[in-house]
Amino acid sequence: MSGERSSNFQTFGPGSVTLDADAQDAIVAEGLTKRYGKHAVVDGLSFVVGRGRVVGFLGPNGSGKTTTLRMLTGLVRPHGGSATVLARPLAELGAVARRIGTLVEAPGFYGGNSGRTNLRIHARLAGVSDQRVEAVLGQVGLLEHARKKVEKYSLGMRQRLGIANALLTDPELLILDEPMNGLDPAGTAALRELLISVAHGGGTVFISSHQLGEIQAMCDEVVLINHGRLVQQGPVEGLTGRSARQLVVTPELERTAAVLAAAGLAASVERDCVIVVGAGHGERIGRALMAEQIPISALHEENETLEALFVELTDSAEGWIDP
Amino acid sequence: MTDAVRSELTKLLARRMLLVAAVLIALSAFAAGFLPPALSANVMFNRELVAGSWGVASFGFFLVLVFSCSASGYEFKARALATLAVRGRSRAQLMAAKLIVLAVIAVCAALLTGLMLAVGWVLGDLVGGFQPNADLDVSEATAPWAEAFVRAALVFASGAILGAMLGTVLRSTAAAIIAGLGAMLFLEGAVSAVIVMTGGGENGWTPLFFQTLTLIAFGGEQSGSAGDAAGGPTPMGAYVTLACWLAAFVAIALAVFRARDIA
Repeated sequence: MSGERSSNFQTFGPGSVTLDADAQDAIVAEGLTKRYGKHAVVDGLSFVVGRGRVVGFLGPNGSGKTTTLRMLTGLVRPHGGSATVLARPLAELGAVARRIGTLVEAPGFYGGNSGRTNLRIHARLAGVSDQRVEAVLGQVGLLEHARKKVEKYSLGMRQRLGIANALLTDPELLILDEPMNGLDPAGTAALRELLISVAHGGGTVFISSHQLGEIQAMCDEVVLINHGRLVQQGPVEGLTGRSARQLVVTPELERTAAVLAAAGLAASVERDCVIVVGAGHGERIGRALMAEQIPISALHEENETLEALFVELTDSAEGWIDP
Repeated sequence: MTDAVRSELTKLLARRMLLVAAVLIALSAFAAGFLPPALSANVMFNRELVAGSWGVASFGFFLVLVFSCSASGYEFKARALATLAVRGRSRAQLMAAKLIVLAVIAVCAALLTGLMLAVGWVLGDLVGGFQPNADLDVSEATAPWAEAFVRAALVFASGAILGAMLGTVLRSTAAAIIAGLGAMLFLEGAVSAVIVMTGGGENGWTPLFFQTLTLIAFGGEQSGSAGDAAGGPTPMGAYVTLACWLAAFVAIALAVFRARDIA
């Protein structure tokens, strides 16, 4: 994504709560805690979302994502910690609410009213014109269904309406919880483009989703939580590149491994190829092998996917029964 | 605040149930104007215009209560309130907007009631003397019409506010309706009976919500004299009692609404 956008987002391990936050950050959460009974759903969660960035918010089911987003939107009050959104503490969210677009969980609307009427209810509350309602309905492709009652909408159409509602005030910060739920592939792609364009325009997107491929494709950074606690946060490329490796396919496996080791690379033979641990070593490998005139039939880099990282860091595959 | 009221108005006016309630109130008011002498004599005050408003107000109270419970409870069920609550308005503002709009709707319903009563009353006389004692002198009709309007407005507003508050506290249409009607029809009757049995309420009046409403609805122009004769409250006393109850309901609902998370 846009590499020129600055980031004051740092990569932290689970033990670290040091934040490099400043007033320019869109969201700063410090030690956020929410308990239901004795159970801490969110437990001392700290992270920063820099302005002008698309940041994914990831975690297994029940990890506290939605509760966190509810706290950041003022629906739920934290039991501990603090947060600022657009430089305002949660108690003063009303002052910046017009600059925030929100979609938390399945969007709730008045089912007996049309999509247009529902948006007009929000538009009145936000002090937005009816023309803007028509504009956002068009933006999400709902204009021709605008007169239909929301109770007759499909899941995807409701989701589009929720996204339109989030865009109503042309916000500079979008907080979206599973916005791709129910969207068809075209809708998902359109949403991806929309969110990226929001970030290119200087806006910030904080998005929770289980569609990790989409997150990887659109996000600059991710915040990964589990059991209400921070697991990892940082740039997507940094996280997925941690265990990158180069695969060299060649008929001279042993010799290739020895040459690359001599060149200072961590190389080993694995089945029918040579593995070189680390990212971005392609040029060095090529030069070393060309100097020794070792033929290669393929050289490519394998990055860990966000999904693999997610499963590894959260143990979220536990509890499922192998087929 | 104006934006919040406009939003609330758009929301409530779009509910079809409001139209149903308005039609039912209008029909009942119109029918009350046609009351046959035999029936109306059994009801109250000899076919006075005010008498017609008694039935309509009592019927309308429950209708408005159910509408209001439904409108508030549905917001929680459909999670529509959560979607609205992130718009930056304080919860006090959201509730104030709701109360203002409900009051406006109650006044409109009362106007409708008065209008339909008057139409039914005039037509009843014209088409065959259903109201033989009715006086078609408009100047004489104005006073009872105004009284009917005020009474209907008060009763409708009470039902609307009570319903909205119950819906907000209980977050469920069904629970709010059951609590509202159950408390007024059964609980208050029991409480009133206990008060009387234990030596309280010697004058036959206890300051309960529904009892107060009943007093207003039934009392009419006689409530003052009847109340005075029995040592009970004047209409103004009843209105003050009603206002205190409604203020208490609103205060409790607001405190709960502000303190609680919106899921």
